[in-house]
Amino acid sequence: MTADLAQLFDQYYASLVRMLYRRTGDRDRAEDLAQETFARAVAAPPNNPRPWLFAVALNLVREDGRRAATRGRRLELLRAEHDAPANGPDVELERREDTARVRAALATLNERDREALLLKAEGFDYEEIAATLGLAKGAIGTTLARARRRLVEAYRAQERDRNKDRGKHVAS
Amino acid sequence: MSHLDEGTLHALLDGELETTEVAEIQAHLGSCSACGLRLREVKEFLAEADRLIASVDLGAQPALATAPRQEAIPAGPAVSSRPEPQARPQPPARPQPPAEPAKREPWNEPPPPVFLIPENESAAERRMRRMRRFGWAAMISVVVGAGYVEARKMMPVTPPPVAATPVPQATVSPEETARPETVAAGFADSAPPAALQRKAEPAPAAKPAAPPRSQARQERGRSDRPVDAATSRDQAGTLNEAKLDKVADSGGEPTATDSVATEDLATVKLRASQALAELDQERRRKQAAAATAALDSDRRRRNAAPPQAAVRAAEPAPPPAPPTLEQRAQVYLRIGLDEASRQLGGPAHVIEGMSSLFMGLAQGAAVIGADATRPVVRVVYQDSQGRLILLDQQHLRAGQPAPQASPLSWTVGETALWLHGEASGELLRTYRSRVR
Repeated sequence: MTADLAQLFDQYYASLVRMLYRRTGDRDRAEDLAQETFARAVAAPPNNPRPWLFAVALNLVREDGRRAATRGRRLELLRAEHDAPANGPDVELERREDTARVRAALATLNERDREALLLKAEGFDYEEIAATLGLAKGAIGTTLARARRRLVEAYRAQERDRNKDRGKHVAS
Repeated sequence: MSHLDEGTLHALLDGELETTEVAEIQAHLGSCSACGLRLREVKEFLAEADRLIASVDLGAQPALATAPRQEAIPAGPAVSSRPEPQARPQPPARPQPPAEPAKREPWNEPPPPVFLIPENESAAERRMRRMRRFGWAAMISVVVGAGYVEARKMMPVTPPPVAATPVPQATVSPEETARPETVAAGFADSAPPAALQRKAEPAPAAKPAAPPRSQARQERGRSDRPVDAATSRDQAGTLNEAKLDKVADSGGEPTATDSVATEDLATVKLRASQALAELDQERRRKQAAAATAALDSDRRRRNAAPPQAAVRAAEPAPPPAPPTLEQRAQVYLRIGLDEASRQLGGPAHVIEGMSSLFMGLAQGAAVIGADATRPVVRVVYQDSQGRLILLDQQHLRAGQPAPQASPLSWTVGETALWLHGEASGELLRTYRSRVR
């Protein structure tokens, strides 16, 4: 059993953390949630591990989000802020701004679309996405089509706003 | 076969369709340029969405680099094993940190040290915190101020070194020693020059109409000079008052000891005036130096500014960006097939055998014969020479006159069509015969 779980961990831990990080925007929280997910897998070993692990992780994210909303305050982990930038400060600033725009665009999606998109980015096929999210397989194509279109349109809208602001700044 | 919906096209590009379905769709795409147009659009969205999501990654940050286990995700078996009609752009490869020994239990490892700070502090908490800070600041100010005042009170009664002043001791009478002011006058000679930086006022003893002591004290009280000056003034004032007292006590007639004291007083006044003059000079020197430095920095700043502006002005203007296809086609908004069908009240007309670049809306006023109050649907093509060919369409409303028929302007049902663009009229006429 331990060997199986170790294998699961090897296979899916990083993917799970990456998906959770994209979902939450907080690396340490993503790691905590991933470990909590695997702790649950120890308690109740799943038959179909990948959809199971990701479904549990997404449920934990939702529960965690509700708890944070109830408390009215959120704990921000500083470690991520202290990472030394690999590139120059300008490049790093640009990258962070771009990431923030993508996050904001992701936030405009509804939960199901966003999760389908993140699972697809982790290499899930339609069947696995359907199993993870409890949807019909035939609906996944439409869900992904809508999610991708909205993501890109929201991102482009932000780009336009940013360019407008820059134009105003240069003009002034 | 009807037009392909967007979900099917995404499933096609994701490699989720069976081989038979793919074959059917490919056959349809070969004959339906509208669906080809849509497929191209879907591909763009898909690639862009993948790129955006891949950009939100942990990247080379230490979390994944130090993660106890690393994944070996199969690269999307469904995507890779099934036939794909077109090559699909994949998201950039993610960095794979080095694998670690498999025997470690990741959930038993101590978590990395983290620091937690509260966010979204409430307004009440912020206010309380601010008030606490103010409270501490006020308490410290009161304590320091009280200590300073106490120190000021104790300073005048501190006895200066006596050994350096043998003369005043000899001139002080026993009854004078009982009066602190007289004692202070006796010590005045031995005070350091800094303590005598007083304005060299005329000695009150030499002035018969000198103000009474109480008035002199009031004047001192009104003084707004700095602390050092006030302190020295107090001491000098004490000196003058002591002299006054001595004169009054002796009935206004100077005695032998008074004459010695008068000489000492003159010496003290001379030293005091010299010290004051030196201090004034030093202060003015410092002020002049500070003003000069400020002027210099200001001048340097002004001198430095024009060259930057000149350099900026001398920079050549960036070359204008080449017009986009939308600008060349004068399309102000791209639309899809659904919107085009809605605008036209039916499917859009296309040029058979050509793949359109995109479809959009253009100003109706720019098309002769069209209703200028409404946009026209413009299907944009590009020939092998790179010239744009524009097929404009507008739904004819009830009562709207049909445009004058010409080789490149005609009506089909309730839709008026115009064919124009960057190609020659002769070439455009050949395209007209292929409009469906």
